[in-house]
Amino acid sequence: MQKPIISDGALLKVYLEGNESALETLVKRHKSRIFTSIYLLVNDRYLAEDIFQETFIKIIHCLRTGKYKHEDKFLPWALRIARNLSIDSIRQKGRMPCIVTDSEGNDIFSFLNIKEDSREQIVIEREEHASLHHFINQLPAEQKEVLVLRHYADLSFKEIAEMTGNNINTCIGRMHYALINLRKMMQKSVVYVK
Amino acid sequence: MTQNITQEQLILLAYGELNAEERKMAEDAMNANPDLWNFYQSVLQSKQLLNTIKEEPHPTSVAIISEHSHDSHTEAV
Repeated sequence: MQKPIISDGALLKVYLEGNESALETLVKRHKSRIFTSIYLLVNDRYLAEDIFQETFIKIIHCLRTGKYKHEDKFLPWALRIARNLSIDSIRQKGRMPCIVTDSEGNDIFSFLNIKEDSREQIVIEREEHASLHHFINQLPAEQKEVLVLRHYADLSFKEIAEMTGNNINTCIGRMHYALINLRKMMQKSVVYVK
Repeated sequence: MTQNITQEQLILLAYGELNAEERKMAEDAMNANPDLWNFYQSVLQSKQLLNTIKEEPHPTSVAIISEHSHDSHTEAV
């Protein structure tokens, strides 16, 4: 029989009653989404590790002092904290991503379904992974933020709008441009390699 | 007759944010308009590509969080 999944709210309740392992379950459940989002926002693994720790230390503090009131919305709340810490950090370091625009050429996506286990294929996949990461970081900050929060943090556009204080249509529009710009950058890179 | 469906609505469709009625409208529009269908396919392909990035924090970070939680609990008690 499959084990029932305990909700985040129930885990938080149990944690506040003194069960330490409930927090470990929450961290395990959400660590990848939270860490990937932080990492892509700040573009620095060591800094991302610090912010990830700081996020949970802040979460623990809020829980212990009774400041958490969102019961069933743990992840959006945790991501809001992570996002704010990431933005503070970017501001402190003065990192301002810039945009790379426009090109025409072949579509890299059409090659992506080809899966081979050859060493060459592994190298290609690693390069694609590195390129994609690089391209995400070339997006304008506001587009990158929506892309990261929608795709990696898995927040709805409504939640992103609430979190960032923007109109939902603005958020969807930014996602639209982010996807278009990413595609253009990928196409440009294929043309360059050729 | 198909309604006017925008590329933004197809992004919502790709991310599962349309209701059943809106989904049906979007599907009808794509069947009638190859440009919309191509755009939707490109969004799905982009999603697939974006899924190749998945990062994990170092185990030390997770251990530090657990330790902090334990210490703060002990202090509170």
